[in-house]
Amino acid sequence: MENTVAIDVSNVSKVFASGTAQEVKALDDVSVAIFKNEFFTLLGPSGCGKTTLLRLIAGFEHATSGSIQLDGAEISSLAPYDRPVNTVFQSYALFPHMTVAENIGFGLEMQGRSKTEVEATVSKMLGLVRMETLRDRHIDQISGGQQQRVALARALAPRPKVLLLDEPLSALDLKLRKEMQVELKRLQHETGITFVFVTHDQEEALTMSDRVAVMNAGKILQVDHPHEIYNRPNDRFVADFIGDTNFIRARIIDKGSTHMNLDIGGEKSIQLPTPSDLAIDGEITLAIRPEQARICGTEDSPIFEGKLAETIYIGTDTHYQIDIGTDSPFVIRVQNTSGEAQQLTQGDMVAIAVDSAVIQILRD
Amino acid sequence: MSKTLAQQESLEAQAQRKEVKRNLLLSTPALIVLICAASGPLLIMVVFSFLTSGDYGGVKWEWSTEAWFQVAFYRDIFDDTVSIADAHLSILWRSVRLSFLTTLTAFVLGFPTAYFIATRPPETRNIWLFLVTIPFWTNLLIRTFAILEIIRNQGVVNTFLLMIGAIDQPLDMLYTDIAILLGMTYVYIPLMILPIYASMERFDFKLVEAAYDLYASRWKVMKRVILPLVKPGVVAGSILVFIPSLGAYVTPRVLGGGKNLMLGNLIELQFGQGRNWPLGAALSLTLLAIVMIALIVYVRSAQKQGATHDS
Repeated sequence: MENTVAIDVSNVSKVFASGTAQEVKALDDVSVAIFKNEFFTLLGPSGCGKTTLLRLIAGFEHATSGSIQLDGAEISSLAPYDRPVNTVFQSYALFPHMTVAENIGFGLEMQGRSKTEVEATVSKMLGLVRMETLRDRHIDQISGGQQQRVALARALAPRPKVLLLDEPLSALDLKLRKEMQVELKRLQHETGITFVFVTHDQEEALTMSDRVAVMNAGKILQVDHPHEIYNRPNDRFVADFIGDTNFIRARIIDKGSTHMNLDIGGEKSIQLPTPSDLAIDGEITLAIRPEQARICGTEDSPIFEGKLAETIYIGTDTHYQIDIGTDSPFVIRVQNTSGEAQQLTQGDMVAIAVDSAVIQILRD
Repeated sequence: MSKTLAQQESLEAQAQRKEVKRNLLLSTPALIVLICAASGPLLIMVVFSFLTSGDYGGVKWEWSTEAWFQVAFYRDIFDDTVSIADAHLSILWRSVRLSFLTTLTAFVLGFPTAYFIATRPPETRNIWLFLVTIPFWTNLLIRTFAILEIIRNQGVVNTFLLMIGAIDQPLDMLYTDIAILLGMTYVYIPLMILPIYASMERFDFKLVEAAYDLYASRWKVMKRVILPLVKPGVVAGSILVFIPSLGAYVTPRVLGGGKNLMLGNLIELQFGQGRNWPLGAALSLTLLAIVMIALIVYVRSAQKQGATHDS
């Protein structure tokens, strides 16, 4: 991927009701660079500021401070109709008094394109989203999934430099959502337009994106490729928000050059290789993905032991909750490949092995 | 088999008849009110308009089309020459013109007002709506006299303009068509604001953002997105203002003085001093006909416009 910057957000803050008692800091000194032809996702819980950032790029809100550049030109003071950026709204916001074709052609018409050009582009767009047969339907005569496609076609028709998508799939049912995820990826490839996608669904973010920015409380915590975000979260919030994670609070007892001993509150201390870049002393948090730990025999090198508290069978996987003396049980996910249930009963003592490479040491 | 089917059909028909009967029974009060309060008087007017006027008011039970003739023509009492009734036609024209202008002015002022209210935060909207409806609390006559007090030669406006030296002598605003227009706009504008507001409240302002996003200027957003979608409110508001304006009586009487009559005043004159009840009845029915024709034309054109926008 060529890494030319399409959108450069630098030091942007947004304060709502500024100067009043109910001042809300929606964005707090956010900087991020979004590359050309990239499927970029803003991921975070509701109220984290992801939609505000999107609306700032679209021009519906103006930043309290900071700058937003598109292809090197400052756009933060431009009105929405002067920005080569289009939005797909969460509620679609399709014009109910117009047909499918009129909705798709609206942006082109407003740009003052000729009638023949509008016609041609609308037909092309209808083909792109596979809606040719419904061109003269009214918006209330088509289904939610079809409205979604029309909203996409309408926003893509003027060929924006950047397409902003504000949780566009949240109103669809699961099956349709999966279909549209694939569809969106295809559209992004076919059009070569930069997509900035906002979602609170971590699975959606990981499946679709080239890069993901995880946000919380008005800040961007980590920007990286999905597998890096999943495997190398740099923050406890990121590790917790993306997928399931076992967190273990630990205290460094002694730190050697190769190995360190950690106290996790149980009877025994555990030993881990000292990461070369560990700058923290004292209290740390270990993050371990449930599928990256395994139950082992003593011949393997177990790092904890615990009592099996609960076995949860969910078809493809079995979840084991193991009491290792910490506040919450340690969860191990085992894929059911053999078709036979593992012979473990509640109360058994089990040993847990984890490759030290997959243990994340997080700042708090 | 066919017999049972027929039986079933007759049963269904019976049930249907029963239903019709019950509906009729339930709507009886409404029907009584309609017949007694609307159709009855209307029928009396129709009958009166075809009778001869009595010498001291009232009617004589003699068939005559003279009243209908007098609506548009004038017969000289001495030589029976017939000429067009200029006075009636000019009053008719003034009524239509002033009502149209009132509707237009109410729209021009009322639409932004409704827009303003609809875009306020929900908790303050009711306060604005409340302010709009406050004039309804006062009697129409008193409100009209208040306007008179404001615009008369020694009134608030003239006194102020004289004081600051903008004019040398008071402006003659009272007893003009402008005064009537002002009064009627003031009286009827809430009837324009409220239905437009009702439409606008249901309007999804996300659509405005979507249109801005798709390169529409402010004016285009108004013309292509907001206006078409709040049109039902505009149509309702226009009808609600136009109809009472056309039949207005108090406002033109007070603010138009004796000389600037509107249809309402002309009709009153025939039943009062004019002692020509049949002509009054014929004029009333003319007014009714104008309203109905105007309504049909307006609603049809609004529908047609909507249809070209919609499909």
